[in-house]
Amino acid sequence: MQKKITLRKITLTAILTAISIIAFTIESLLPPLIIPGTKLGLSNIFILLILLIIGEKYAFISLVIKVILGGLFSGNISTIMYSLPSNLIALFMQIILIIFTRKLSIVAISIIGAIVNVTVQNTVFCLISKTFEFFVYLPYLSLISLFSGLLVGFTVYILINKLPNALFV
Amino acid sequence: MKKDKIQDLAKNKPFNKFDFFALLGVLLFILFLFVSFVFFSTHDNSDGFIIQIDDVTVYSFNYSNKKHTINSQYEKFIEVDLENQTVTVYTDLNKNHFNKIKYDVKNKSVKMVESNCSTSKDCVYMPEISDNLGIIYCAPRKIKILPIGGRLNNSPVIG
Repeated sequence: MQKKITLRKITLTAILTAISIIAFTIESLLPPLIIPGTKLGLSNIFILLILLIIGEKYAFISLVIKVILGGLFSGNISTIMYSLPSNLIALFMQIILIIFTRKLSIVAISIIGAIVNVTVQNTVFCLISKTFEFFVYLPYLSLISLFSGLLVGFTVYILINKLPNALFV
Repeated sequence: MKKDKIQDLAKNKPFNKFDFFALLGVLLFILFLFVSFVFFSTHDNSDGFIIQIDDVTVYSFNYSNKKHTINSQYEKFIEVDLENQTVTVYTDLNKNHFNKIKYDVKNKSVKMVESNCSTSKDCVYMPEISDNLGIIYCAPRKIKILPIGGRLNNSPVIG
């Protein structure tokens, strides 16, 4: 019984990770939203879904795979060193929010994760590339991430409501 | 996560009253960023622009006297088209990897117009530099375009 449940977790994680990578790759081919480097972050829908319905460990593994493979498939390998730490920190923040502040909704957790992600990513980018002028874009990036976090959070909320009970592990 | 917890999440509304404090914190943070980086920034005209490859200044141009200066070690990597007001930067001797920059003397602006750096080509989508603030950066090639006299630009101008 325990093995069957574990296999279900692995399978579901793999499927959601694959969809996440596809979404990431498609988004990378589209022109940026207003400011270079900004995306809707649709791939984060599936990472947040894994976090909520499967577990933290699977979410971390899925996130690392998504960032690395997504960077390779999109042909933008340099983004891996900027987006991997920011995504990991944002996911860690979301886990803390879920565990310690059980009164926040999925949408609020998604928004906070998006803001943390973009702030850390911008900071890491400026530090590595030594282009501190890029901090000028941070206010606009944060504003865009507020809306993308809202979109991702709402989508995850709708999916959790619509998903069949058999998927819950 | 347990099934009953997931069902609790599904039963909850998309927003609850405690979200107000979280969102207020987020909005205050965004406001702080705007105040720090946008509202109190002074925008002056720039005197020209420089192009750097891996933090080495390879080219500079002055809008007032229309003077071009190329770093002697990078002469083979820079092509200037005076008629079309473009500068093409190559990062290899075979000239397969290029970034094309267009400047406008009349408007005192500069922009990356073409590149074969990656599929996303973020540098081409970056807004033009028309004052002393701003930067255009091609991450895969480590090419920076900075305004001369920029607030955060302490790089020496060659020539």
